[in-house]
Order: sequence, then C-alpha cells, then structure tokens
Amino acid sequence: MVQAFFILLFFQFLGTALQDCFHLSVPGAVIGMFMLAACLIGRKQFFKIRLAKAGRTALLAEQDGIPQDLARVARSLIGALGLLFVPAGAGIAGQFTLLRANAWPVCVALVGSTLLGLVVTALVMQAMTRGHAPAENLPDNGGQVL
Amino acid sequence: MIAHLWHQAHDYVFLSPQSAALVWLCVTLGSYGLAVRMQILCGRAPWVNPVLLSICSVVLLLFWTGTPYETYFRSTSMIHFLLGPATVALAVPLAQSIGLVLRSLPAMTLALLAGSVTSVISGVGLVLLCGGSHDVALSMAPKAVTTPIAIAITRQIGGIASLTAVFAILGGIIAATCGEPLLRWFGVHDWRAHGLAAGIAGSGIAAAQVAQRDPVGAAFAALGIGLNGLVTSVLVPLFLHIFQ
Repeated sequence: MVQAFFILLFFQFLGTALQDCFHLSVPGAVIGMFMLAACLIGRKQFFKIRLAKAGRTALLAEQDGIPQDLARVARSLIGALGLLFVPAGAGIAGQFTLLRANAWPVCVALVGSTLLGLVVTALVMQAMTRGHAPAENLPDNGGQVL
Repeated sequence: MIAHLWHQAHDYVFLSPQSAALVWLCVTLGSYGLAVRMQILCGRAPWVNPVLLSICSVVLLLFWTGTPYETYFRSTSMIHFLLGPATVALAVPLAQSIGLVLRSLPAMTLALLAGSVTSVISGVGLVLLCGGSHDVALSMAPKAVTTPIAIAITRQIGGIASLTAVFAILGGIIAATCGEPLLRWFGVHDWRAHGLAAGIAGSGIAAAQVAQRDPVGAAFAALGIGLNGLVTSVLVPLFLHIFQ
C-alpha cells in the first residue's frame, strides 16, 4: 500500500508540476494519469520482450506488467470513487438560488446533451466498425467496470 | 436547562474544530455506506445512485444543524484530497484495456472525438440557448467526463465544482436509464458501440449499466471513460480560448 500510494502521489505531483511549469490547461492529476498509463504500458512491453527472449511466452498471459500492490490500491480507490466526490457535491447546498434561476436550461441541456452525445458516439462507432469482427478473448470481469 | 445543554452539545458536536472533523467524516462515510446498501437492495437500479443519495442526506443535515458548508468541507478535506490519487489510479484500467484501442484505432478515435465535441458543444450551447447564466454553462461543459476529472476541468476553467459534480451524476443516470433502448431504436446493436457511447456520454454510472450486460461492452466503456477524460480536458479549455 505504501509503495502504491507513493507511485500515485508522485505521478500526481509530476503532473501538477508539469501543468504549472508549462501553464497547461489540462488538470495535473489527468496529466499524471496519462504519464502513469504510459509507464505501465512501457513496462508491459519491456516484460514482453524480455520473456520472449527467454522463450517463456507462456508466462506472458499472466504477466500484465502492473505491480500487484498498485493494482490492488487502484481497485479499492476506484471502487470507492463515488464517496470521494460527496464533499465537493455537497457544495450544491450553496447553489440552490442559482439552480432555481437556471432550472429550465439545466434540465434541457442535461437531457439533450447526454442523449445527443450517446447517439452520436454509438452511430459513428457502429458505422466505422461495420464488417469487422468484434474483439475476441476479452476478460470477463463479472459486470465490474474499471 | 435541557434546551441549554442540548444547544451546547449541538455546538460541540457539529461546529467545534475538535469533533467536527470526526463527526462529518463519520456522517459522510456512514451515509454513503447506507446508500450503497440501498442500491443493492433495489437491484442496482441506476436511479438509486449512492452518491446522489449521500449528497442529499449531507445537505439536509447541514441545513438541519445550521452548519456552514465551509466547516463541512474543511472537516472532510481528507476525503476530497483522495480525488487526486484516485484520478491517477484510473491509469491502471486504462493500461489494461489499451490493447483494444490499437486494434480499432481509426474507429475509436473518430467516435471519441465526435462524442466529446458533441457533448461539450451541445451542453454549453443548450444552456446558453435557453437563457442560462455563463457560470452554469461553464459547469455544464465537462459533465460527460467521469466526475473526478470533470471537477478538475471545471476548476481549471472557472466553473462551479459542486454543480459539475451533480450534473455529471445526473447525466450518468439519464444515460444509464435511457441509453440502451434509445440506441437500439437508432439501430445500434453492436456492444462495442453501446459500451463506448456509455463510457463517453454517461461516464461511470452508464458504464456500470452496460458492464452488467456484456463483457465486450464493459471493456469499451472503461476505455471510453479514460480516453474521454483526456480529450475533454484538452478540448474544453481550447474551445474557451477560441470563443472568448
């Protein structure tokens, strides 16, 4: 757990530092997320090449290149993700007058924009992948996303 | 006498710095835990959303005890702080499902861009079109992204974080309840398209709904959430820069 939190906080720091240095508009934690993802993918490729050289391709399937400790902490943090935005969300207590004044635009935009985004994404994806077979060998994670 | 004692106890429990942090942390964890149980009891229905229920009970309790939001937020800043590391932790599922992107790169890229641009522009556009205020429109811009990233983006562009958090959750509930029948009505039957659309337009809540139905959909939904976070966090500030 200690190592995993070190990795997560270190990458968040790196992302925030990069954001401040170059005055980027992408949030620091998001930059950190993509740097960590890049590192994990790089690590996986590195293991793949090393195992292939040693002729132990059978090990490849199990080894997905992500440290177990990190995977475990990431899973528990993401599992409780909903809890983490309760403090920010409760700030709605101070916004009721603003919400009442904007009730109609908020309702229209929420329903309209969500459904529009859904339909556009699905139609483009379906049009582009038509005729290609769906990806095979996907892990069945029992209805758990992330 | 009793009223006086009650008053003192109330002030000590909810407002004094020594106990407020502990009490409000317990309230937040407890109400979220109860809400999660309630959703399981209701057969994991998307509209019984634990985050929304928990926010409602905290807000009610804040009003009832007369506690200022600042006191509550200071008391629970520990939980809020974990949003940063949790956002970075999204890298793990992203790295695990990245193989799928490489297999259908052009399709995913195009669908992702189309979905992100549509969500951002239609969100801001509809608010302004119906006469909504500027800061509500800004808070609506990143609402399709998964909530931690949406909060970070809205802070960056000067929107209101709590509005964005609630918009993101409500949008997710709308997408989870109407998404599948609507897409089938439009003739979309491919689980890859269903999953990606849920991840991009409805973030975690809609993604969880698709994930219960199909493993292919689950993988594409997870991917949609991660990639949309990146694309929207680049797009939104860019659009603002162009239009202002």
